[in-house]
Formats: sequence, C-alpha cells, structure tokens
Amino acid sequence: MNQLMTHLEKTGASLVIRQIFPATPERLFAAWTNPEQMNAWFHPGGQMKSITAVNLTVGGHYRIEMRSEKSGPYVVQGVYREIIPNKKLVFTWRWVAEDAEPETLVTVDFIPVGAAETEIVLTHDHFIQAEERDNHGEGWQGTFVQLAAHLT
Amino acid sequence: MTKYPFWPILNDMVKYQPKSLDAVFSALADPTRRAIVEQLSGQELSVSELAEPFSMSLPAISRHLRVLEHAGLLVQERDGRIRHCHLDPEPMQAAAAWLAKYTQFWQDQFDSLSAFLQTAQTQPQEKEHEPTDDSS
Repeated sequence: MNQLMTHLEKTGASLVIRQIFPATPERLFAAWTNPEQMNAWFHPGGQMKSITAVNLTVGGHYRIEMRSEKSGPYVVQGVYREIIPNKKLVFTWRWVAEDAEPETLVTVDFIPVGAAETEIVLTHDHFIQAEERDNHGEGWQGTFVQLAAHLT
Repeated sequence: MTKYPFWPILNDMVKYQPKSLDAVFSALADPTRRAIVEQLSGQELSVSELAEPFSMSLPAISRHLRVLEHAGLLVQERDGRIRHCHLDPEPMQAAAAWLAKYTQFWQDQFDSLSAFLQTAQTQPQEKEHEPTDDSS
C-alpha cells in the first residue's frame, strides 16, 4: 500500500508516465493522430496490428481495433476533449466490450526537450464523471490544474 | 502455442470487475482522506482518535469518513458508544492493480512508439524538416 500511497501523493490519484523520445513534438503529435501511423504502433506488442479511425476535432471520435493473428480484436474508442496541435491531446478512453470498465480520461502532453527530442507525459485518470466527485474541494479540473503546475 | 505476454493485460482491461474504482480513486484524490487511510494502515482507530491530528471539525472528518466508507475503503463499527474504523484492503488492492495494469500497458505502448519512430525514420512521411538520409 505504501507504494500506492506514494504514487497518489505525487499524482493526486492519476497515473502518470513520462518518457523522452528522439523526435520533435510535431512528429510525435502526427504519430498520435494520423490513423495510418497509429495503425503501425498503437498496440502493446510487436505481433499486433491496429485499425484506426480518427476524427480529430474537439467532440470528434476515435476508434482503434487492436488484434494479432491469434487474438482480438480489442477495441477502444473515445472522444477528443482537447486538442492543441503539437502540444496536447485529451481524450476519453473506453473499451468496447461486455463488462468493460467505465470511461476514463487520457491526457498526452508533448514537451519539447532541446531541438530534436520530446518528453511525452501521459496522464490516465480513472474517474472523470463530475457527478462522482464528493466534497474533496478541487474537482478533477482542479486536479488537472495542479498537474499542469506540477509539470511546468 | 506461443504465449503473448500482453494478452493478460488486454484481457484484464476489457473485462473489468469492480464498478466502484471511480469512487476509490475520487476518494483517494483528496489529501485529507489519503492521510486518514495512511493513519489506519495496520490498525483500528476510533473516530475521535482519527480526527485528532487534523485541525478540522468532527463533522468535517465524518464527511470524509463517509466518502471513504462509500468507496469501500473504510469500515466503521459501533462498539457501544464508540465508532471504530479500519481499512478494507480490497479496494486499495483493486486501485493498485488498475494502476499497475495501465502502467504496463502504456509502457508497452511507448516501447511500440519508440520502435515505430526508428523504423519510420528512413521513410520520409511527414512534411516537417527531417534529413532524409538519416540512418542513425
């Protein structure tokens, strides 16, 4: 439990993963939003392929089917909440399956590092429904403001 | 038959049991409630013992306790006039499991993205300025 509590202390109940990539923010943003490129990499394994549809506007949908020769498809879809080209993507995340978990929220920040590298900071929030919030004062918008401050 | 190590991750994610993880994460998003949970780690305390370290009214603490109880994190039991609180470990374990699953999933995605960036490097696809004979 200590590890979990330490993590939550730092992130306010979000999952945050960061990594630096040898590519510009423009290149990475294209990788995250261009369906042909997403087909090539947006799946957690080399034997898999993806089929991606993207309507890259706020309120627009995306849908990704991931499969391999032997298994799948695993389908995830959602709606774009925020799009700042080459800087930020925010989208809902929902598996299309019986008994799938409720919708969650993913935020991807593209932060330039030097001339040719980019740090991607990915935040995955489990709860996004405003009505689920209790009196914890901040609300998840507040969590995002905190997180943004934490990042800069 | 080859075992694909990532299948359990995807299988786990599309088939999901506790509907209440929303309540668990929203409960744990508050620092006072996290502090309460940490206090209760490995022990049982009465409500007044719990409230003592906080400069907060008892009704305010009780509100936090209700949120934790609603999330299944905390159990209150009445012993005569005293209410005792202890943790239920299951929701914490479920929350930790969710974080672990998605940490693994996104790390695998990042690995896939890294590999893609390398293989795509020799194919000029985008319109930004990249050396087309870059082979490193």
